[in-house]
Amino acid sequence: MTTHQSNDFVGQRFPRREDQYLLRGEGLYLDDLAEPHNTLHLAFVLSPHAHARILSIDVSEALEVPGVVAVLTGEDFVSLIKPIRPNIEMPTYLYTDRLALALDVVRFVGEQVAVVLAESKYAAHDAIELVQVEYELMPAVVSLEQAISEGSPVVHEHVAGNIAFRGEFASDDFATKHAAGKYRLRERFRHGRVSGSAMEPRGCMAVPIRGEEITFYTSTQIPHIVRTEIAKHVIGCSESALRVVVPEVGGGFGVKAQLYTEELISVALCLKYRRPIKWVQDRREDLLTNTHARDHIYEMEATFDERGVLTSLELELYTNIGAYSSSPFGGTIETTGGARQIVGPYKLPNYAYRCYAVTTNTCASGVYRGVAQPACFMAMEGIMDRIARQLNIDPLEVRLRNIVLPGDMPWVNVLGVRYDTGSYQKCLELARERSGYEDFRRRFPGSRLKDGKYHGIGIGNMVELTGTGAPGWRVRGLQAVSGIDGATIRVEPTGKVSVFVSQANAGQGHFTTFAQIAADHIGVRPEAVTVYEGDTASTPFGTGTFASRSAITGGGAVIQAAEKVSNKIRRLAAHELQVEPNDIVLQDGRARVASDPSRFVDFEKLCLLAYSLGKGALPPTEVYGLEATEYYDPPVVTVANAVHIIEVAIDAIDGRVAIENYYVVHDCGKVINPMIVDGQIHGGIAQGVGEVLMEEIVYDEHGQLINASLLDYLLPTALDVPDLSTLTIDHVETPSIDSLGGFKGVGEGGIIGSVAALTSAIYDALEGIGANVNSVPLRPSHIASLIRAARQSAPDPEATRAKQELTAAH
Amino acid sequence: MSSIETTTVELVVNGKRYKRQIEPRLLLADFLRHEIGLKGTHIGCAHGVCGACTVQIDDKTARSCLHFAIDVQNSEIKTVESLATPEKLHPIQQAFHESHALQCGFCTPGILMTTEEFLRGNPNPDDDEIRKALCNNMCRCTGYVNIVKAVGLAATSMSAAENE
Amino acid sequence: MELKRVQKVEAPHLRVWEALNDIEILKASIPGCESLERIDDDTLHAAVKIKIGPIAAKFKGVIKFSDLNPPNSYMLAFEGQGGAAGFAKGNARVDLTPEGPNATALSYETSAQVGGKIAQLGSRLIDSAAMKTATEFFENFSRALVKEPVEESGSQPDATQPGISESMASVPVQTPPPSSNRPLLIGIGVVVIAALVWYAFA
Repeated sequence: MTTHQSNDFVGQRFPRREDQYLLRGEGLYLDDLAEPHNTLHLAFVLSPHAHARILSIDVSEALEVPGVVAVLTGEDFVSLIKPIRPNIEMPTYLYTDRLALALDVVRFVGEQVAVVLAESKYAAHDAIELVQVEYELMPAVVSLEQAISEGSPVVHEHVAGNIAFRGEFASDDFATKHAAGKYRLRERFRHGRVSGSAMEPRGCMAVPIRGEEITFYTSTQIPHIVRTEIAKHVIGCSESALRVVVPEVGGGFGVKAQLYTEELISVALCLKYRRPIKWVQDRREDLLTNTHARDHIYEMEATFDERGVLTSLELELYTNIGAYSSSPFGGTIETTGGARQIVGPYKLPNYAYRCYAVTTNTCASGVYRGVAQPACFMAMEGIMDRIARQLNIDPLEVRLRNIVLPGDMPWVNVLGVRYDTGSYQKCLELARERSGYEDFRRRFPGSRLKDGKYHGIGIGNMVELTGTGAPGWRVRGLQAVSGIDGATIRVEPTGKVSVFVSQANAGQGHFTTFAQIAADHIGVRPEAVTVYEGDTASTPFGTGTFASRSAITGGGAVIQAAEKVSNKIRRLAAHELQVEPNDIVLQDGRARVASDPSRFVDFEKLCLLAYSLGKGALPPTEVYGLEATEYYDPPVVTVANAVHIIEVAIDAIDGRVAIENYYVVHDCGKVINPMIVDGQIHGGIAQGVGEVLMEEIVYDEHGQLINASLLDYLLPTALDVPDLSTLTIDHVETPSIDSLGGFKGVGEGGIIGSVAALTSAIYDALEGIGANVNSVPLRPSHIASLIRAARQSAPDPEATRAKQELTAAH
Repeated sequence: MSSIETTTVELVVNGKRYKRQIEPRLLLADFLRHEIGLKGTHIGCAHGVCGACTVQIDDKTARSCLHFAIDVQNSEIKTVESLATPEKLHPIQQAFHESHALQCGFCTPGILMTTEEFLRGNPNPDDDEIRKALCNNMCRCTGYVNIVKAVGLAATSMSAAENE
Repeated sequence: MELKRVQKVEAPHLRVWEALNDIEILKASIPGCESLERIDDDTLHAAVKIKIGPIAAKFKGVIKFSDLNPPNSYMLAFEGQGGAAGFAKGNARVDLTPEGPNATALSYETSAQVGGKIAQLGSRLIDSAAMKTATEFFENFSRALVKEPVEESGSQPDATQPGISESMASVPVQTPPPSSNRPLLIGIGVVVIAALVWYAFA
């Protein structure tokens, strides 16, 4: 139940307030913050080996560099920082503690073994070149396939077979039902490893304030989690003396929703040296040490009936979690995510999974936009496409036959997850009508080869689990991820409104969207509202910004707090105007009598009462102040949905994929700011294109990361994304009934749908020539070799003729 | 303690002359950001690929992370701070605001400098030309869709202003 | 990385061997070589300065010989450390075959593992850089062969004949005693390590 005063602002295409200072270059990101005069700069020595014992570290030469104050190693930190163990409680989960600096063993290329403190950044970087480390190499295990094979080296002695966690589930009587399936297909899907790669690399700065108080600036999405974890791990650090402040963040995407060793080290050294400590990484360190994502294997067996309706699904999922379980999400997040979210919008009556979190001597994995969903929907949509092929039914039709229908909602899926509202059927039908899907099928009834290109159309039919509340995180055993978010709203003495939210914006426009919500629910204009985030000294406790949660959880907390504050404003106004509180309407900073609008009182006047300024008196039943702090725990999950349909043209010779047409219909419940929603979808689509066509973190067989620069880890540019004329985004608004405000998340939908749809489109284009597309990324060389291999084994007469024509033309 | 070798440089940035004592190896980007406090130019990769550090040297775009301050003493440097006045945004910036062409804002200054040079040379571009002009500036947030729109809008509004 | 090449040197078999015996020729031939020392019978230390793109450093290499089969082939294992720039390690097999009176085929087969910054930033460039280095080495080496004829021959070199084949023809062919093979082998090993160090840090 909401008591919002108006609908003037939520739902409007409000231009962003952040833009003024960001466009001028006045946004202060971590490296822009003023450095106190005696700041010490950190630089780290990284292990060049994937798995090795550290025999000795000689820092003598490094100490000679002018400006170097100290060079510390793992031994120095044993008494400063406790081993990092993410707070995860799940049966079968095995801890893989990580030390702030490696002590005896390094377990991935890029693990830090020594740190230099110097008066300048340049001096620190000079010194790290001179630190001599002697290693004794140990056998390294790099790939998933290697790690799960018999006799593989292990990353941690106590983690047998490199299995750090195993989960399983089987619906009632699964084995019997699965065996009874009428039609059956098996497929193995492989998703490569990616890195979120925000444009701003990570950094942090710990500044001593007075006594033991420290203000810690860090480029993070989870200020409260980081604060608590630092207080728990850094010996001698008191949480009440630690303030975490988030500066402008240049993109997060989940990669900055982690606790990192540099953060612990910076605070620990600040306490030790009583000087400001600053650290900023470069892009190579970003790609080496910032948490990676995906790197999954999906072994699936599906059964279905003659109409293409799924009757059962069995999944064996392996996820590569790297050398250590990252904090706070741990190595289980993608493992349980992929296994549990794969059900998607489909009715699937019988389901069983076994999922494994596998350690390897590579960088730890964490959460990156979509978190398993892009990979698992790539797989599930791949199953839908294959069912369609096997039965010769249209792929979109197959999906329509499997989805949860409006009459079924609210729906509880086979895993017990509740989908409160959704528009799966409406979106699929709208997509079929508006995307040119049927026109494509008409244009390409048989062979897909035309003008030297293979044409395909793919479908990404997805749901997105957003705004996960406390119960949702408990189910996944993540005890350090609270799930609640808080908001404090205060009407200041002059009538302006301050809103403090426990979120941490990294470009999503929170300073605008939360102002819109607050304005609607308190009865002021957004211009009268200032939103504050990312400062643990002023914002209430909360979980942070990731997993498409901020609209729901931050929005919910803002709405609850706004309700309390506006109720009090109405009571004070009612007392002043001698009417009942429910006869008061709030708008534009004024409390007006609904039944007699000429009578009103300005908020500012009511504030005089609330703050004991001026001559009036508070009603005897009221207390001072005009503020409220509320915490909101959203429902277990809120389920958004979307359909992406992509038409591609693949060059038959070089394998390059061109996007000819891109259609999205998206439902994220009640929309706060459509301009920002579109922006999130655009960004997600670009990352999806990158994930499918360009991006891959590559380790060689020795565990060396061989593409640690943007020259070799390819991010999409303006030329790689669908251009304006080919992109259409439609919106459907099916408000959530479980979450306050009716909001659903949208931050990740763009990437989830695009990865599934693009893979589906490439599969669709090439399946006819016998090429089975079941893995990403799909770089041109890989697609070209798939085409060549398919043509050689079963030459398609059309293709041969076309090739002859092309060859003749050259 | 042995001292670090420094040298004197004089740079002209946004029309103003600065004289500083610096290490010869100080990058132009670091000079702008830490010596004279112009923090709008950002470092995204430090190896010249992402374009976040783009400034203009003698009216031509350049990667400030790949230049030494000492090498550009005889040139005029322009950064994002040269675009707006205290009262008003530059038309390009205004177009970016209206088109929601920035999210986190980290890559934006570099893109603005690239756009300014581009529109100077091509005041009436089509979308293809715009995308080609932008292909050396990376953005991870916006997916470029609104950036392309913004550049088109800026071209229109700047031509209209010219014709007034 | 795998590298397999046959390099033809325009000089008789023994001339090549003897030139490879010469630490000074080797040091001059290896691009960026700052020092070359024999530590013991089977071990050599080399220090080479390399700069590729933004990464410049001094790399110290250790070579160990094994499986000696004089005068035809041998194996070597190497390890080069470049501090923060990275490292390379691997092994190689070297074979020498005379190809007529005035030419020798030096074939080498190596496999190497590269790590650290060089591999992270330059993997793409490594193969071509290794080729370039090997080529440069052999150019230097061939030029050095012309300038410094072997003293034992007792006859004057013909300055216009790079292969110096005529002067060699007048020298009685001697099979060098086993003990003097070590420098030759070390020399060949250094050629290989030079190529490999370049490969590693290119």
